[in-house]
Amino acid sequence: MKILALVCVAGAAFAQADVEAGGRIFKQTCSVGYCHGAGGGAGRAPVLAGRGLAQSYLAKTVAEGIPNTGMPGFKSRLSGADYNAVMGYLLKINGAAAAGPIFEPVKDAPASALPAMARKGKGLFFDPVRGTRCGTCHAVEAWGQAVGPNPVGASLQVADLRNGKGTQVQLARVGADTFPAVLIESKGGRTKVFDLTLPPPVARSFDTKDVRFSGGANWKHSELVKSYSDADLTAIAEYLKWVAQN
Amino acid sequence: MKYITLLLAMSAMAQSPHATTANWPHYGGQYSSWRYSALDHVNNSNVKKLAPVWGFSTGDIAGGLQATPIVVDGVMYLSSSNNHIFAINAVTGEQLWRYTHQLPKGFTTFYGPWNRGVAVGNGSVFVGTLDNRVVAVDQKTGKEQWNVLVEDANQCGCNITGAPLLVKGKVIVGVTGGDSAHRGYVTAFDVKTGREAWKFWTIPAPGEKGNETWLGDSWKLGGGSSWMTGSYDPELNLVYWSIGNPSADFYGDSRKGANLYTDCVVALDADTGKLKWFHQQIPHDVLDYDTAYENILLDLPVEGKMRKLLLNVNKGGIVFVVDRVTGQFVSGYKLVKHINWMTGFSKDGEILGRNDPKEGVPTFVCPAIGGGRSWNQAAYSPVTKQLYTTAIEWCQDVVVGKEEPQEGKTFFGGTFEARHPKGEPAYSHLDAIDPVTGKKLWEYRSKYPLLASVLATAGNLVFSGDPEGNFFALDAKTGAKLWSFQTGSGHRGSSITYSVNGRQYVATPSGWGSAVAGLVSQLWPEVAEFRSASMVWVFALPEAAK
Repeated sequence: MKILALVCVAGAAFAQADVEAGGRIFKQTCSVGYCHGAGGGAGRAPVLAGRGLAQSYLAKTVAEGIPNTGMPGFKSRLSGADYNAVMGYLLKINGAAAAGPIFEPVKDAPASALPAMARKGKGLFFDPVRGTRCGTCHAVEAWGQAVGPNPVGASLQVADLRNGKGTQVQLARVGADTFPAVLIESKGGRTKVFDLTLPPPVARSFDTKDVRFSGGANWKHSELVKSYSDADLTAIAEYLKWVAQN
Repeated sequence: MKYITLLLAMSAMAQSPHATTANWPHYGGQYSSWRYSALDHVNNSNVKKLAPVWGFSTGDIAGGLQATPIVVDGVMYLSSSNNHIFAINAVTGEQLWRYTHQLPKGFTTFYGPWNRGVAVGNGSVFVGTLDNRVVAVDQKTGKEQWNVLVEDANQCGCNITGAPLLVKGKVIVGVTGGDSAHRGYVTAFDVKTGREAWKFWTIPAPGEKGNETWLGDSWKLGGGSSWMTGSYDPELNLVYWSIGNPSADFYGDSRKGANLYTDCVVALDADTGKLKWFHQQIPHDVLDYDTAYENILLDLPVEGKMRKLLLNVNKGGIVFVVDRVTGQFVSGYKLVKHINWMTGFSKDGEILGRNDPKEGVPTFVCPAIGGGRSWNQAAYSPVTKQLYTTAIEWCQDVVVGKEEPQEGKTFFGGTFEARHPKGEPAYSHLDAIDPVTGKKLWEYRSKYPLLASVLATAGNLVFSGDPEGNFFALDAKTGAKLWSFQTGSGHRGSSITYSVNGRQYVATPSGWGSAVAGLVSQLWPEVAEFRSASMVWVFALPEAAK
């Protein structure tokens, strides 16, 4: 992942070549698919050309995106050079003078420092090919769902990763139905639990008076991770260790 | 005696598995997705008197309003953009309850904020969400019952915008992601508990039949979304789902092969999700011509023999009719005049004369990526035996470019710009055609692309709406416009009809927006200024005239 530092300086100018490169990147990244129109013209997303959009607004929006819309942030998607080139292009189609304040070309962050084994472990943790993967029940970095505990900082012995303690798991009883459950919350007369009968976990809500909890849930972490070999779990441990250290 | 005959006729009508009557229970009307109602109080002789009786604004106009309202026993269930669900008194328009799904803070999605509808049954209302969850809420109160994350949306870049299909105690959902580096699936959940019942991966894994149709690892992130809603045949116990294009959309060299089961109709066992048969429309698609749309189940004679058929409109502007017992090809025809990516069909349904775009240079291709028809659905009337479908005459320049997949990120492998066809400006039409042969009975023209579904009724009427905001009724036999009402914003949803206490109502969403609507302004710049909205309008005949 490349990280951009936004540094605003006055007086620096983009080379024409950068603006042209920005136009190409814009075409491949921003006017692609059903987003902005070609040349910043009409599309599903707003017109960008000829609107006098301010540099500060463009810089923030391109980097961070607009929450709750289709506009993602590009700070982790574009290299520093590409980001600057797109900014140069956006300023140009908004009629900004080439000599106006622009961004100091940002140096690309060094290539991801994730070592090979940890990278393999990350791939396994979030393996999209497995219907059930670690990320189905655990959140690490930007991905996954926090049903179970944060595995970063837990014991990273392969046997522990395989067996998992599952101390949060209780037996829930609702009418005739019993299932292994993790309590999410109980308020306003409603109780919400994760039902762990089958992956993926289901967040179920009940009237609090209808739910009873006890120990003795028939639930085994080892059943959920059986598609992972010990070598896989070793790589996953390396990944979790790397996250803890970075 | 006359009264008894009428009662018998009405009871036969109510039991018809294909036509709707008082309720509009499923996304496509009934399981066979005809979008046809047996109600005929509103008909071609009195439709001129049709007048609005109530309106409902959802308050969230992002992306317009694309849903099909569901009506059960006098209550309308409506979903809007950003996963609001409303229960509305279908006679008065009064809100009974509202549910709003809480999205994670700062959530963004490429596939837009819209939602195309809910499913209702077993005491619950079900919706698929923008962050790729399926949620069940209590049908009477709107209180959440269960909520399951199908796959992390931040990772997969995918989500659910289509309406769920409810079959035999299971709620079945598709997934977007066809323009992303993602491997698609269709998933079924138990209606009571939310526990996963089955999952059908739309791209076979190594060791499974069909994986050999993908080069190397390309199957892992090869698209095959399932973004619209399936149909169901209770006699065959088969769920029919349409599987979208392979990814990258335009660049195909890194996924050489037929790319099963992309661009296929798949027939799945409703109890297990197991594949019974598939019919691939376009092997190795490089034009984003999804097989994504509705599957219309028809029983019609072909060469003198009654057949169980399935009709599917492909985004590339062509129609396939197959045998829904076996998946065998029956017929194929063109829906649009301006089509240059193929020339026709072999007798086995193979597409002839393919004109695939080249890398690095613009290729002029018709129809445009928005489709020879978009996802808005067709209707079938058993009275006229006609299929009523919209179509769009437009083209594009495609430039193919090599692209490496990044999981969950867009993966087009090329760019496109809409163009007018050679020799005439782009336009749109709503046609009445013979479903098996494609023979056209009539054509109704529109300047702008028609992007709303069609509704057919036993009242000899066909309803739809246009981007300018007009909701209109055509004579089903002649295509003559009989009635029109300006709703204030363009149409991108699906109209329905229902009755409560014997009075027939016609309801339509109104609210301009969507991905394809965004493309329209590339050819008609003024469309960029078309106003959005998110309203349902409901019409009826004056009380005295019923």
